[in-house]
Amino acid sequence: MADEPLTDRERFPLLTDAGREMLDRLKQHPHAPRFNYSCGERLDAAGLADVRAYAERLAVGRAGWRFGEAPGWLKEFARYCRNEVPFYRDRADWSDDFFALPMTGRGDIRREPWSFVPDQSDLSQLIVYRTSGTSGNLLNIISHPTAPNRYLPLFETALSAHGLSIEGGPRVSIIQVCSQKRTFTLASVMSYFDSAGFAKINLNPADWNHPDDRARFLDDLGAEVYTGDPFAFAELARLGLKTQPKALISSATTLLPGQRAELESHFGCPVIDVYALNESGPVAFSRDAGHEVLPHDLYVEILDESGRALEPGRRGEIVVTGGVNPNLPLVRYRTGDFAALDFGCAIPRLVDFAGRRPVHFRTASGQVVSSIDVTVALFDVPLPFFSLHQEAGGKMRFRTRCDASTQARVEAALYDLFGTEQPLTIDQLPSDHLWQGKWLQYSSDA
Amino acid sequence: MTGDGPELESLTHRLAECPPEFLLEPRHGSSGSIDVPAIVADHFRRLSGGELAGEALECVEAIGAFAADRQQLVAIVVWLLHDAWFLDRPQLGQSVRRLLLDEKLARLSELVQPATIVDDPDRREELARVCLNSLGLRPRGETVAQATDRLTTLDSIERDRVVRKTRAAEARARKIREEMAKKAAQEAAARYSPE
Amino acid sequence: MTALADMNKLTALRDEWLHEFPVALGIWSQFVKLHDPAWCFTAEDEKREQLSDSFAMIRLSDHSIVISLRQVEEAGLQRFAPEVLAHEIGHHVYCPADLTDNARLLARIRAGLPTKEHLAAFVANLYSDLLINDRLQRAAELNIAGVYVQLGSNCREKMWLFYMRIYELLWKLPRGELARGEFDERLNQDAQLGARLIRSYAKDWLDGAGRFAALCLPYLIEDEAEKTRLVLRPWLDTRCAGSGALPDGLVEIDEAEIEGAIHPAEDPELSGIGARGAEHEGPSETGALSGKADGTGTKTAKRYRTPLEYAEVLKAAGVDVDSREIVARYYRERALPHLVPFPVRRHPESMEPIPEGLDVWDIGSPIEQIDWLGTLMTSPHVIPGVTTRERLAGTSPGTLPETSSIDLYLGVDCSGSMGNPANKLSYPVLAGAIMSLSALRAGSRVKVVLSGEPGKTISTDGFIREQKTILRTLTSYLGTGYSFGIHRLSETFAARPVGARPVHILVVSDNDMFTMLDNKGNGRQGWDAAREAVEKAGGGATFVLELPEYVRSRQWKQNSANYLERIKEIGWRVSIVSSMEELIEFARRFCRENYVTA
Repeated sequence: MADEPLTDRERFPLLTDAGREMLDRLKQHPHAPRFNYSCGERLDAAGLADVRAYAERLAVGRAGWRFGEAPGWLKEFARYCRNEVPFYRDRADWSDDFFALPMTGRGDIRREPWSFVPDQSDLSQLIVYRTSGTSGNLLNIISHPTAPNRYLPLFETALSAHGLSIEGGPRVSIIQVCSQKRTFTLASVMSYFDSAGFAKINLNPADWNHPDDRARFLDDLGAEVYTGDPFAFAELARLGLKTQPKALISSATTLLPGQRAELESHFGCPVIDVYALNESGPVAFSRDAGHEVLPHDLYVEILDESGRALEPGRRGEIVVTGGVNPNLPLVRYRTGDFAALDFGCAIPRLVDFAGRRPVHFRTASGQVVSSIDVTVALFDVPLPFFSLHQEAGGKMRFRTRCDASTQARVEAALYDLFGTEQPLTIDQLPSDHLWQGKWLQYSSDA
Repeated sequence: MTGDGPELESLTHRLAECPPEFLLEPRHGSSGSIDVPAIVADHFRRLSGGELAGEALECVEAIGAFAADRQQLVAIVVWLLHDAWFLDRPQLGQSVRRLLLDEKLARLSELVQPATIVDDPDRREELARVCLNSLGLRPRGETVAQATDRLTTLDSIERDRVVRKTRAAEARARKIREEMAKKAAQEAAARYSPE
Repeated sequence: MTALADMNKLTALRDEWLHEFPVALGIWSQFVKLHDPAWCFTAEDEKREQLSDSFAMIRLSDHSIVISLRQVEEAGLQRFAPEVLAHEIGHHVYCPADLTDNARLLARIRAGLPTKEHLAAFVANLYSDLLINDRLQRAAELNIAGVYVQLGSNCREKMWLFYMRIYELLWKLPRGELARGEFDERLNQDAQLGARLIRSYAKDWLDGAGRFAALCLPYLIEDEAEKTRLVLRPWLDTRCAGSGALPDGLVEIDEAEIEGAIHPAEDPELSGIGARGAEHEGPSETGALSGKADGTGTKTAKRYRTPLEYAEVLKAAGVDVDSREIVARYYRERALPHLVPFPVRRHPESMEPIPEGLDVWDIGSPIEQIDWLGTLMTSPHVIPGVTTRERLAGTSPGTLPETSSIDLYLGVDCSGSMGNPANKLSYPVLAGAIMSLSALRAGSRVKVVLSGEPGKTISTDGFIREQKTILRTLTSYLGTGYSFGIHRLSETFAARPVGARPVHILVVSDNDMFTMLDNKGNGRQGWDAAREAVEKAGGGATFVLELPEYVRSRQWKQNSANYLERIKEIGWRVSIVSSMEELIEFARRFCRENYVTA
């Protein structure tokens, strides 16, 4: 919960009467969930203009590149970073040859996020996201209101590849569905889509006055597009909605082909899988075979451990340059995900993904608990690292290094999630034990 | 700086005792109180034992044309050079003239106030060392390496360049961190899909 | 060597060092008195003295110095008795010297290490070591440099080189004598700033602490100075400096903490920039940042640490008090400035009034004769002359005038929605602390019941006067259930005898209490349990509710206005407390509405 809530004027600088009506409609809907958060688009006139300009560049700029080629815009971007961004300016090992530039990693961002903010960036517009990825590695990301709003033209591009578009205006255009024990839920409006409505909801019945309200609410609003992760979409499918969206946009975790087929069949619409990172925004979207690079100004490479480029078709680490966040320009950023590149079309495609999957744990009573829920439960616990593993018989083993009172908090959180009957051991690693960043945070043999 | 010079402490001590008259504003146009060229002329006379001529005269004239700040620093240097150690060595005359005309003093005068030069221990030491260096000397008991290292470390010009950069970078980093701390507890902007 | 030979060697070493101790004391002052160091010969000795990893340690609470002779020998420092001993003494007489200053030092250092606060104790140790060592090497002409030559190291980590370079510059040592590695101009100038800082702030060292921390921060970003900490481990002697005590006054954030945490390059006195000739610096840039004297500027409002930050500062200072004790202390300190007169009732004459009925009190009657108990039972709203009643009492002869008080039952909601008071300031818990401390001060007793139902509950053992237990229970957290179990009240009040001391019931919760009141437990609604409790308790009852902004400003399904009305109908008062202003208003109003002078 935020310490100091913002005013609606701060949340929605461009709020129109239509927008106000839409917000009221969402929040006071007879079947509305118990929204527990408030958050707005935070776009002012300059911000909206920026997003529209981005959309224009996106519309004409998606040209792709050939393997081994560094387009002009890429070199320009690298120069910009070197001149204007402290982190890159301070690096001893820079180069005019893009392919000789050093890598950037998640650890760099975690250690000194402020050094990625360009010198000219207006600090009054600065916003901060605390992230909780499935890999359990928490991070503070300094961002800017234009960053999440640039996702909207990117979604449009992905949809138009499937012959679809967003109408916007006086209707609800996007609803994000979650299925978690606890999460922030909110109602908002999108200036980019002419004050169309947006809501983030949690399908967990505890968030609703009545379980049936979920379907009633969604059917009544008839959102154009649903966003969410595969787990939430599976739950959405079980609701038995009467209305049909134009498309589902799935992200966060890998959408397996079998799941995709089932969802498309159930909802009767395309299901687009978007591969995106908190740090960079959307990277690629599913299209026929493979995932096509989505933004016009994001460069994607596949590199081996020592940073050498791998030939098309060979799988290695996905490394990106660019990004939607003006306060986090990325140069050769190691994503920690693995795939191969296919240069068969003008715009390269990622294939052969070994992406991210959430781990599903089982409680003693057979319920499923997602690793996302564990991350959320441990969100505020000051742990330097941890891993959680479930053995074949259900026993769980948690490894970390912390003091007694922190360990007590971990126990309380885990028993709360898995039930007090859950067999659980907590291992304290000795202080000379080096934590290899490569350890899987979550794993299960069950 | 090959020659053996005096004890550093005697010089820094002498600077600390610089009489207030030497810190007054040099005569320039219609303002100011001290006549720096005259002070320099007096010093040269003391060294040579006779009237000014040739290079000494040219030196005094050149100094008359310096900016006020630079003249002020020259006055302080003259005070320093009036130490017995230097007065006993009139053969340093030519080096002294070179010192008083040294560009380094000009740049130093732009960076540091005269009061600071005599009040701040680091700046006293720097001025003493700059003077010795210009005279081709090093402090008694120090090796060339030691003397060079100290000189570089204290060099206001070098320091100014580096610290200015540091300051800009650190000030910016601090502002961003403060903003981060403020905003971390606030709502950010709505996101439209999960990551 | 046999164990006996080892022992003999160490004993001889101890004798040598003991001999040097008065000399080392004398270096600081002829008048300082410290008892002899505790000497450790074996690992068992060290364990007993809680000495680990280092060969020396100080503890401010009992002015002790602990030396491990075994480790001194291992480190090859046998001949450095004067240096080591004078150094340890320096921590007692110079920096930090005092438990409160030690904690303040850690707070200042933390302020200069955003994202690396957990390294504060390490950086504080470096800082105090620099101050002490500089004094000893120059004034006392000891060979501190020799200790560092012996300890390390060809370590090339930037933090190590930076730290050693500061010593080289302070003592005019040749480059490379202590800092054996390559470093750039930035590091050299940072070390020069560090040396100037140590000299400038030798007297007012607390003011220089934040700047020193900011100076070190860039060298901690990458590896957190892991290698440096390893090299210095034998001499990190202030880790436990603050153990054994809990200093007062750390709850408030000192303005100087925030203002002082700037990089020395930003301080014109240290950097020399902004002095002359530089581009004109606006006063907002450097004026507010310069130097130590700072009497100008507007008075800013008091700022307080969160309970979590408070605990972190104390932990960094070496305070080893139980963490629950720390939370309790936090709320005590925050509560103390706001205590209010708690209701008492005094029998003007002696004992045992025999109640004969109640008469409406007339404004002319002396105020002591108001039967507040009877008044409260009639209506929660006290309107003098209308609802107040005066007990018509016959008296039977007694001995001494008696002051009877109203006791306090404090019911605290510790469900998930309330948040853990150890992390973030909880206004309802603070209200509870103010009320219980006020009650104790007035001679009353307090019973604290923590409950998060359905789920768990803990409580004090009945009505007690033990301040520590009360505060500890009050600031605990269970995180279960969704609200305070209103039905719990019957456990205390259902069987309460009629003549028992009156109790005021104070329940702190949030809007989930509305649901709890509606729900059934033990066969009846929460409303009934609440009504019965206030009737039996006899001292009034109040709900203190925290209602978040999004609840108050929205049209909610639950019509809160109806609930608030109904609560008054059953004889309870309601106070909304979601901010400091509302908390103070509640305390004031409570006193006004229930007040009878003692």
